[in-house]
Amino acid sequence: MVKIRLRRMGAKKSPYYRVVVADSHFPRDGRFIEEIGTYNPLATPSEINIDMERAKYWIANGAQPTDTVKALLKKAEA
Amino acid sequence: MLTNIRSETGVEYVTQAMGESENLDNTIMRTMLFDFYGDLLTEKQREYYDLHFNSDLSLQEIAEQSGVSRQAVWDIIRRAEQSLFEIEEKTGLVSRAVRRRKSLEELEKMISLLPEDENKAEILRIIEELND
Repeated sequence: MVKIRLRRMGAKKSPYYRVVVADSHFPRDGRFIEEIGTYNPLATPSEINIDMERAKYWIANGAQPTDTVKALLKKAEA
Repeated sequence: MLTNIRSETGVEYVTQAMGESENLDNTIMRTMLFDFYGDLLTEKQREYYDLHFNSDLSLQEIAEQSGVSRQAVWDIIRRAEQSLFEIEEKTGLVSRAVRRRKSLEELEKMISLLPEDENKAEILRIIEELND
């Protein structure tokens, strides 16, 4: 199955995330199919950059976003 | 249980300050707790917690990967969370760091509006340093 996940980047105590499309069979090895966005929670206001077209494309093709990604997509659309 | 701990720790302040929705709040708060106090967890706790909150794996995925039950993963992560929240309750390092970061941001904004002078660059450098 293909998943859309948040991948944590950034230095210690300064979390920063990429939104990536990845195969759920290899969750630990860091490989991903495509990066569709970034999220910086520490900026005020927080910065969300997501290619919504790509997000919709992947979801329409069966990719499963995690709960945190769902929350982020909802926030990005608001 | 966790909700109680949460309301007692000033965690609400932190997440409010960050102004995120509930679900993201939780993840970011837990990420910060882990960054600050993660070394105090056991190895297993650290591993599962990291996979769940930093790599965004579900409990089920971690369970399958590690060859244990979903319940076992949940128990370990939950206990880790409780430890981290308790440490935060006692030391408050995370909420203090977040407050400080906000104050420094404001300070930086104010100073950058001032007319150029010889001290300005130096002041901005010190603010940068405090931000680490």
